[in-house]
Amino acid sequence: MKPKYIIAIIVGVLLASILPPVLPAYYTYVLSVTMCFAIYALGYNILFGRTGLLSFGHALYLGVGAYTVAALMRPELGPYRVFSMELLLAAAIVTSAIVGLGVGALCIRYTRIFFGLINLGFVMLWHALLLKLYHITGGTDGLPVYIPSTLGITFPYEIFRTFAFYYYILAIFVILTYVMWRIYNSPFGLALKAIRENGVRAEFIGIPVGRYRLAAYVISAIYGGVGGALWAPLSGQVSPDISTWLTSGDVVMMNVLGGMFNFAGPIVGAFIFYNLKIQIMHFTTYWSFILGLSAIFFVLVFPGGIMGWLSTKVRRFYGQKA
Amino acid sequence: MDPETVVIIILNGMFYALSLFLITIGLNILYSFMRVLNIAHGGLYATGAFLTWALMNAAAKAGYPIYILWLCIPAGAFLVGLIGLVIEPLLFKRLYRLREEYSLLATFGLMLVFDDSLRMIFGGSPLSANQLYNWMGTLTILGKAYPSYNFVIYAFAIAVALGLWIFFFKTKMGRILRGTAQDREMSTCLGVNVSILYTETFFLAVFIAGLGGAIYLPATNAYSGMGFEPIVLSFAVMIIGGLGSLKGALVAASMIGLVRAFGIALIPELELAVVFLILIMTLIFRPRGLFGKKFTREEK
Repeated sequence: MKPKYIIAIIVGVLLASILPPVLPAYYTYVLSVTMCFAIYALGYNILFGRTGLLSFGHALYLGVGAYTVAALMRPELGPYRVFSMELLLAAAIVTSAIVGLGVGALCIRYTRIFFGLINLGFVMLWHALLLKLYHITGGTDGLPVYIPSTLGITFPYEIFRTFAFYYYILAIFVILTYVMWRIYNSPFGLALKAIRENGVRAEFIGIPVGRYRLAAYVISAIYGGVGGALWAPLSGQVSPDISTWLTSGDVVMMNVLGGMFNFAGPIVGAFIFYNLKIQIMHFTTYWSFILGLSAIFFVLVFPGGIMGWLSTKVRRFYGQKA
Repeated sequence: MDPETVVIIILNGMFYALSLFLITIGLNILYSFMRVLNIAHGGLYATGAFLTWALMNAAAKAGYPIYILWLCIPAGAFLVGLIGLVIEPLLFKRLYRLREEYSLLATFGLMLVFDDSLRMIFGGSPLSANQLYNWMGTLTILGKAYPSYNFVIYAFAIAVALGLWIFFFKTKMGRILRGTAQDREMSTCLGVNVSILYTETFFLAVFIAGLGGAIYLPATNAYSGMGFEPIVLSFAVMIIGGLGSLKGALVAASMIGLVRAFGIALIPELELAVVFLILIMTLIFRPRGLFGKKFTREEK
């Protein structure tokens, strides 16, 4: 990494960590949720932007992560209830990796629209199961999520939601972003790019296309699971609504909005998407109308997304080739 | 289960299946000719129902006789077709050149726009226009009363299937269309105006979706969000039947409709899950679907 990036990141993290005392409590909460979605979108992009596979069902993993947390906190478990966030995260990683491995093994044989639709099939299957197996999942009401202990400390409700958990998520967000950066720039990450550009040629030069696609799929599933697991205690409640094909469309929108061919694209996209959604929801109930219009606008006018557009501008400014 | 119940379940299943069939045909046409998977098709289906409701409501208030209400159904569908004529040059023409991911996202956005616009214009509560349904009365099947209007729908869907088959395989325009789907450049060389042809095809696909919404309105309701469930199930139908196959769409829609109807009757916990299980099974064991063409190497 170039030194100027490292400085920028340190400044960014410092800025982010002085925010909670400064901002109103509500915005700290909003920012925490946004970071959960940013993790989810970042993971999704290794599949979508990097490997070129559009999944229309990744809310499945958001749901798997969130429901893992909720299920392990159920009072029915008695002495075996888990409240440690670290253990819950580990459990969410394991479950989403297992589900991702199973579903991914079936999906990666296809590309393009078949890949998108088989994922859509899986997320709707999962959604139907969440709705109908109400003895386990609570049906439409979903399950309550209690306050977990973070690093062994259990904070009171208000401090947890608007202060302590923010730093916890921020730390995980920074770590996972760094890990993803390493993955992107590893030989594996570059091979994924080759697969996106031309799968047949990538196979010819000896890249195991199927296995690499599966690995990318599982990574994206794990990121989705972690995003969901961190989001669950914030919302205090998980319900089947988070895992439908419509919420899967949201993550595609985040990536295209931010720029799917740019590393920071999904993060920027998640921030803009979620905050825009909240702001629009404040003044009109017809927020999906505006979101829909902006999706069309971005596809037609800025297919490279915000970051793609910005980076060409910056390069032109410095006189480099775009 | 007694035989009467089974017959009724089958009839109900087919009733639902045919609405999926009417949406899937449009999706299939758009996918096989323009390579656009139009998620907004569910929105157009809903628009058909809402516009027909507006027409029927106006006609009923003005006290027109019942045959005017029948005319509202094609009129509503035609209005949807007109919407198609507006959005095709504005949006879809630009999507044909883009990657599938982008067109999928843009039509997803359009679906959200349609759904919210309908809610904005017609409000959130369900709207019913059941004059025709009541006027038709009921028939007695094996001692059970069954609405006669449903038979109008069966006959209508069969007529649409037959009509489309004749259109695609027996008319000159159908031949031109199939030729263009195979080789767009060549048909341009042969003097086909592909741009206009695409607009016409788009109109046809959208018109059928609107007709689907319109003809179902008297038997059900128009409600906001009504396009979401059928569009997802239509994707399932499209994949199970095979992309671009008319026969496949009919068979798969019947399959899904019947599975759903029997599922509701027998295992109400899992009716939707079963539908998506069939979709996943199809993709795993026969990805080209029941009647789909074999994949070529670059399609894989």
